[in-house]
Amino acid sequence: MASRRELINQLRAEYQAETDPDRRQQIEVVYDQALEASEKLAAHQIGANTVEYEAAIAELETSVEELKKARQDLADFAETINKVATAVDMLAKVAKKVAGGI
Amino acid sequence: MALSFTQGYGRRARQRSADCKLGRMLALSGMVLALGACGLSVEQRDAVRQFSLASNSFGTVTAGVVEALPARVAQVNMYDLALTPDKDKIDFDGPFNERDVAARVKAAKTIQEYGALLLALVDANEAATLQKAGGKFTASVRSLDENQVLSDDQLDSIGKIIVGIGGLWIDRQAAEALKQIVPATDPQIAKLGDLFAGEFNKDGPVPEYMDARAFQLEKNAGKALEGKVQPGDRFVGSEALRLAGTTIRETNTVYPPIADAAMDMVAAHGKMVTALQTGDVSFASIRAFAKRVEDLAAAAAVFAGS
Repeated sequence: MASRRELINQLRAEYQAETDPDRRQQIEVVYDQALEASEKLAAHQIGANTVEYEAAIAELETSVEELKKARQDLADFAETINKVATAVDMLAKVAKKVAGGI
Repeated sequence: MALSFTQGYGRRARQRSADCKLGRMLALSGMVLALGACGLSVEQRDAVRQFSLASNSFGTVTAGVVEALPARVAQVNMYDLALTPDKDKIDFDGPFNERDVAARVKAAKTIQEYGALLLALVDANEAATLQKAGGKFTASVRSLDENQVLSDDQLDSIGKIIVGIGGLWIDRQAAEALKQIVPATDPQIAKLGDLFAGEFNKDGPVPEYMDARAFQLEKNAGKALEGKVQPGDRFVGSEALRLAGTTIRETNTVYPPIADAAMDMVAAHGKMVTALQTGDVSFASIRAFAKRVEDLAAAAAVFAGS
């Protein structure tokens, strides 16, 4: 079965090919009606889909947040090692000063 | 300077002890290397990387196309109004009001962000921070080791081991996060992929609406140009005809590839899930998705700003 869009394309081709003014006028009436109906149905469908997009986004955002947290955890882990290294370095310096009688 | 027996013995003993400690650290790093096997294989990493780049690009291009929809519809409607003065009212943005556009742009941008985060996780190494930490450890030990029991090479090895162990731990954690999060995200990617595919395929509501508006404009412009109009009106008529043609071409060239790429994204994500779960990596659908997005980006670029 032809889709709505295919039917409209057919009407468009017929309208453009028609040379007889009266016949063209008749086709135009049907063509206009088809275009208007097609527009309304498509617009309705687009509006209805919006709610579905919004629901799907909310769920995907949860995964995005989990990925962000996982990425941050890795950075935190490296930073912790760095902090420990800094602390060890400071302790080493203090120990050296103590050993040298400050 | 000659060493006494006790001095020499003590130094050799410390050296042996240091060698022994270094040996143990190397053995430990070997164990951690084995632990690193729990990270991702080169193929798994590549699969995630290729999907990430393609999905990031898909999100960027699709968001751009959707953002341009209200302006395109408004342009068409404006010319249509100029050609049909008896029309008493017109909805300039058509079905693309703020909420409708925002939902689709956000969906595309969330896919884009998902791709970017996958890439950030698969390529996470924190090398700079770990190098800094390794350098600090080495410097600390060196400053305390007044008798120079450890050679510079041995000290450098300790630094490298710290960097290596940290890196492997990060690899392992990143792999675990990906293996947990990516399969759980599959239904959401499938849902959004289906929505984009359903809306932008050649019979979907977005091409249908855009064609209907463009065909109406084309018909009215044609009638205006058939005669009985002033030179000024002819200019409006020809501009309207040009705009209708551009809109029709854009509808056929850009929107269906969004649907195709969205379906490919769903298939590729499924393959990435399999790759992460079983290690069985199949690149065909991931590469097909990447190629489709490349074509989509090229098609969208032709009409950007037209």
